[in-house]
Order: sequence, then structure tokens, then C-alpha cells
Amino acid sequence: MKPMNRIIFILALLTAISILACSTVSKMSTSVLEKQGVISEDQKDSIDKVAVAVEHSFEDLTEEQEYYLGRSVAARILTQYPAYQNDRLIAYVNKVGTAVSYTSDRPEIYGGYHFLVLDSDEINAFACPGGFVFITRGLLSTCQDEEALAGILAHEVGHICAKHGLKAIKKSRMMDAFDVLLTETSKHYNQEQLTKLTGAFDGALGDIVDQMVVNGYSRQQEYEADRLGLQYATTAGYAAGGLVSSLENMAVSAQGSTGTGFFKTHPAPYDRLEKVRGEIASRGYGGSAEPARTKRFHKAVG
Amino acid sequence: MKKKFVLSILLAVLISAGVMAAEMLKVTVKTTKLRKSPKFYSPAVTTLNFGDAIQKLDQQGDWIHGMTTAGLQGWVHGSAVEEPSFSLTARRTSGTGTTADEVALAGKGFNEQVEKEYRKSAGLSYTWVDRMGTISVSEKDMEQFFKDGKLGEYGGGR
Repeated sequence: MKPMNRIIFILALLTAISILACSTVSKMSTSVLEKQGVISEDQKDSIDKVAVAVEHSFEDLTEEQEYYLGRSVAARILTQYPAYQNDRLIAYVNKVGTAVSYTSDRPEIYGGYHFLVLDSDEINAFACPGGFVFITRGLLSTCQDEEALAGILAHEVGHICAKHGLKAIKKSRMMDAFDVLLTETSKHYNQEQLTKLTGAFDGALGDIVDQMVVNGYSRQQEYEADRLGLQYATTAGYAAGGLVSSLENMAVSAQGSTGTGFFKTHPAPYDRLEKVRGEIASRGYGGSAEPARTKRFHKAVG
Repeated sequence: MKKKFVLSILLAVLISAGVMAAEMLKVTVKTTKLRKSPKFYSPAVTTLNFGDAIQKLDQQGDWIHGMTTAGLQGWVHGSAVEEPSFSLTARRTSGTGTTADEVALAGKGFNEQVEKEYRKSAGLSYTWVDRMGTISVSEKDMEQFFKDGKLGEYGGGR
């Protein structure tokens, strides 16, 4: 390749990747360059392949796609755990959750954050992609004040911000999904494409639910959610001790546990406590429970 | 000659992409508000919907001061908008989690049509998921919640 051609090729490559904001646009631009005789068909293919390879990642799921995945993950959670129908409590939990989402890394997501209490004695909480957060009655009953509830909800918002659920999706599902996405320019799919996409969707949901309910996130992901949760809750003005006290209460509950639910899918509370205390010390987090918050907590939770 | 022309066009695209990205923003969430001040519970100037364009005028922390195509000015949080991205990594690195191509890929991939198809065979109830989606706390109620609980600017928030 002549030097000038090489420069043009490299620049074309950079341009194609740089406008990878939409792979369709990228493919269109490489096609134009090929038709103009600037790049060969082989070069066009190699640029397109780079674009496709870069695209096959959970990070390239749009927020809208995350929202649709999250809706169905939430629907599956709700088949296992019924919702606790108490409008006053739901409104209160949503206020606490919304407060800590304001100070999160992703305060605005496609469909917003929504919080619901599950009618179960099991001690558990779930954060579905797209902003659907659940806390069981059992876990709520271990909270002594609003600080503790805020600590738990901020931890769950941390999972969503760090996209831990989406990271569980196997690469093969992404490749199937993007295969259709890259070949179809319209937003309405034919039956064959729809079947392929729905298969990838079903598989991705299974990956996420398995991780959330059956296997649990990795220890590192739990520690990361603790770290983020501490940051969000204390930035909002909650006492850092909220997460500590909720973990201490969980540790007490864990002693009588048979290793199901939360204790099956989360690292031992004592391990998390140690890390959380270390984080609080190193960041200088503090604060104390505000009586007005504790009062409204008891009024709402009973 | 032709090659030099192509070369300059490619360079111009790369440079102008950066300039454009600094000025125009697109809304990436289903719906949000353009607010009077840079706070989540600040009253709304107007409602913004997915894909709406905002001209960026200024920035204060994570909040962007912008103007709608109708000329209305206000504040929108940075996580609700994206800069049309032409970056080499094709992804924003601002930490807000928004991918670079929200608007370009709108409605594609895992969308309403796919959910509808999935629901045919999955036999799941979406009643509570839909109800969850309608739960929202008004700006006024959130401000009161912050005030009463001495949170954020009313207490120990940072």
C-alpha cells in the first residue's frame, strides 16, 4: 500500500470507528468509501468487522434495551415473590430510594427508578436492570431506621449503576442480538429476526435471573455495590452507619439461616462488614441517624 | 488530487465531530424535565422526551444548562442526555453509563415488539411491573422529604 493510501486507510478506519455511534452509519460510511474507490472491498470488510467486534458487549445495550430486559427480569421475580400491597409503605420506600438515586452515578435512566416491597419473610433484595428494585418484607423488618433502609436501597442502586445484571449476559446472546441489529435497519422485525431476537432476549433474561436469584453476584460485585451504596447514601445526607447496622442485623439473622435466599447469594455479612468499615474509615464518612427520619420510618414501616 | 480531497474531508469529519459534540445534546431517557434550577426537585420549565434536542449553553457540575428548539431554557441532568458521540472508543466515559448511540439505535434490539413476542410464550404477568412503572414521586413531595428529613442541602448532604 502506498503511504498516501495507507494514511487514507487509517483515517477511514478511525472515522468509521469514531462514528460507531451507530454501526449502521459506520457501515454506510464504509460502503460510501468503498464505492468511491478509496478503500477496497477487503478493507471495507475489515473495518466493518472491527466495528462489529467492538459492538458485541453488554455496554452497547442501549438504556432502552436495558429497560426492556429489566421489565421482564422484574416480571420473573414477581412470579416467585408477590408484591406487598401497602400504598403508604410503597410511597415511603420510593422516596428513600429516589433520594439515594439522585446522588448515584446514573440518576436518570430510561424509565426511572421504581421500588417495591415483596411479601416474603425471606431476607432479600433484588436490583433488576433498568431501575426495578425490590426489597422483601423480611429484609425491611431487619432495618431499625431510615439510614439502614437507605443503605440497602443505595447498595441495590449501586448494582444497577455498575450494570452488574447486564454483565451476567453471555456473549453468545449479544452476538445473536447484534447480528439482527446490524443487518436490519428498520425498527420492526420480520418473524425470523423476531424469533432470533426473542431467543437472545429469553437467554439474556435467564442469565440475569440465574445470577440474581440462584448464583448471586460475585464477591467483588457485592463489595463494589457496598462501596457505591455508601457513597450514594452519605452524599444524600444519610449516616454511613446505616449500611453497617443493616449488615450487622443480617449477620444476626444469618446465624439462624439455612443458607437460602440472600445468604445463599451474598458474601457472608461479616466479610462485607469488614470491607464497609474500612471504606468508611478511609473515606471519612460519618453522620448520625436523624430523629425526624427515624420517626417517619417507624410511621411508614410500622 | 482526489486523494488529498478525500483526506481533507476525513480530517474535517473527525474535527467537526468534536465541535458538534460540544454543542448539541439529545435526550436519552423516556421522559425527563428541563428544570428551573440544577436540582432534581426543582420545578419544571417543560417536559423533555426521548430524542429531543437540547442546545448546551453551560454546565455546572453534572447539570447542563440548555435550550430547547422552542427556545425554552433550563437545567437537565447530564445522565439524561448524550452528546452525539464520534469518539474513538464509541462510548462515553463520563461514568453516567449511557452508551454513545442511544438515539441512533432507538427502538432497536430488545424492544416492545420483542417483549410482546416473549410474553406470548413466557406466560408471565406484567401487571405489577406496569404498576411499578407508574410509581413516581412529585418534585414537591421529594423536596418536602429532603426538608423534613434534613437531607441534601437541608442537612448533612454533600
